[in-house]
Amino acid sequence: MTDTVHTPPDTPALPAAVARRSMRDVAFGLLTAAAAALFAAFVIPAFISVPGNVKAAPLSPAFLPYVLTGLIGLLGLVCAAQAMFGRGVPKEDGEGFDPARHWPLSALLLAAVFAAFWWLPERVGMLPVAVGTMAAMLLAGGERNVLRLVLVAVAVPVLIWLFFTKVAMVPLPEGPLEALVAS
Amino acid sequence: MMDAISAGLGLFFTLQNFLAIGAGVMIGVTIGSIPGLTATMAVALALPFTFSLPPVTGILLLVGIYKGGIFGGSISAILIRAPGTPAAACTTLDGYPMARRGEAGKALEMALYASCIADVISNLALIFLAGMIASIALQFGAPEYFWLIAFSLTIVISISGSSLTKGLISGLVGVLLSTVGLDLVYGTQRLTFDNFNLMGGIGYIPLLIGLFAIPEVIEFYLQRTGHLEANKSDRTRVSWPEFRRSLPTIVRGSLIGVALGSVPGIGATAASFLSYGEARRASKHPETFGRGEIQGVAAAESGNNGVAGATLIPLLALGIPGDVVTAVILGAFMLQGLTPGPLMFQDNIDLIYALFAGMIVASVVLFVVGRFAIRHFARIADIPRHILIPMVLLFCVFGSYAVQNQMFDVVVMLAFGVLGFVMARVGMASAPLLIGFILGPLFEDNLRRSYLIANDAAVFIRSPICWFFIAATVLSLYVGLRKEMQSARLARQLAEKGQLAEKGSTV
Repeated sequence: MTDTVHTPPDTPALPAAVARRSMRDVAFGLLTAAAAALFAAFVIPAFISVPGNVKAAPLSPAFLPYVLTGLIGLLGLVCAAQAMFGRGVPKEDGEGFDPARHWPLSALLLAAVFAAFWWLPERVGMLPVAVGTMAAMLLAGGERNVLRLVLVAVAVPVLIWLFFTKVAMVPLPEGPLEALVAS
Repeated sequence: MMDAISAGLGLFFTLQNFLAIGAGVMIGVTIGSIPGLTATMAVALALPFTFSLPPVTGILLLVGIYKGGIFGGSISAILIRAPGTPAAACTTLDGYPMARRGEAGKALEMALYASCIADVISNLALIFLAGMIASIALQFGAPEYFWLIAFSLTIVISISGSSLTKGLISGLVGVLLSTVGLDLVYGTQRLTFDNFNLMGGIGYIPLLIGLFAIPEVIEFYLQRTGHLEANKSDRTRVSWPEFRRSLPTIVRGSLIGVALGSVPGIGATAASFLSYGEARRASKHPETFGRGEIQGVAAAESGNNGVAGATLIPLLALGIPGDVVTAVILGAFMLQGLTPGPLMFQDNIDLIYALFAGMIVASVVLFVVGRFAIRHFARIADIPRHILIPMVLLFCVFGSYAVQNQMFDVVVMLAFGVLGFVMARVGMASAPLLIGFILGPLFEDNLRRSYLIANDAAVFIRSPICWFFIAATVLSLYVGLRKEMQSARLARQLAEKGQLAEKGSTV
């Protein structure tokens, strides 16, 4: 017999996932409401210029952002209240996520890949960045066949690059390697 | 009239026209299936090629690309969860779950059937009802548009997933994001944070790709399961009972597409989501939507393809382009020395009939090309995921860059990818954010234009069309909220019963 907590039949206990989700939803709702309040108090006044000659409130550039932020804040509080006082329902959206054993390493790799696509294409060209990131992701994905790894890591980015530059005529950022391939 | 019809058919039945339609549909399907490259882009790129072609051939080439592009968007939406076009975003909701459980062929086939049927219905509406629909569409002013958009926004309720509150927050965030950029009335900066890249607003293609495709990439690397996972072999096809069950959904979606397509400026994305929402609302099992329901694919695809022919109604009948693609087609007409509008039905009626014939043939060609494309594209599902996922990321990066040829869009795409991943983790659906983002500018623009016209709130109840959409909005809100609350209550009861049963079995 496994350990179970006795609960009277008229007050059924919530599944553990629901309880976890409720706490997460309380935090989510309160954080959303707080973010909306900060947005309305500081971001909108600072980053939306309202001209002096606005005739009616709905014509103001800040009108809709204020209304939306207010509604978001309100719904954040509703979400928190639902989680605190109502009965949660186990949801599928946020569940079924089972982090890998080395997920911090994978997260770091993804961050590096994203950063590479942010910083490098205009410096070294899109193609070398695509080849490098493809190889890294294949390795991280578990590809151990060196020949296949090299083939896929080179062929796929080159084919995509050729399609975008030669067929779709997209001027992708170029580095020394692209100039060599193009010639 | 018979003379005009025979003259039109004579103008149409040339080998050149058939080749133009075939080439157009093939180009459209290919371009549409690549994330970031839209049907609009393909039509714009093909425009210079029409200069040297006869008017009917040139315009049919563009129409073929447009129709092919709209269907092509569904291929990548189903196979890799990266919608090729914004209109295909809704198809990911059920198409991708079907592909993940080894039913990619079935999902693609249903997308094709729904697309072709909707296309035919849309063409028939264009041929027989163009004048009538155009006259109704002409009565739409800013307040009428405002209520139409308000009604369309109520579909957020149906696509909110498991939490209505979070879905509404997601939709509102989408509308808020759409306000970024230069203010349309006063020209002042709104939430641009002094970044000149944001002055034109956030690009919807990078947002779309990031929100739908990138969370899948992130999840693959952070999730325990999934590595080196082979996809299930796919020999599934749409059965006759499945098709028969989906047919009412397809017809309803087509009519929604026709209705929204004939009103300038609404677009295929809103039509697909509205069709999806209505299909879910009408279903006896709404809980299956979003989990690989074949009717969800049928609804989304019939909605967006229903727009394809109907969007030409305001163009041909009134000379008003319904969306960006028809604006490009209007350019093609003008380059050929033709001006679409009522006069064209008098002066160039043979050309109009030739175009109608060409559009019907284009639907048949779409079916043939689509079947060929499905057979070959479906093999993408067989690629091991550890190879497919990096390929998806590359397509996302290259496609996002291609929109405006700037790295900023890649950064935006990656940022929305991370946001999409976080949203999925907190149980917040990303589809409402997209629909809010797309409809937001139309909503605000028409709200403010109404005020500019009248400076009085009474303008919002000025016509029977306003009242019709007010009633439709209220009814939609009531029915949607009631149904969502009922299903939430049911799910809660089931969860509690399940927990009790679990306890009983362990004691």
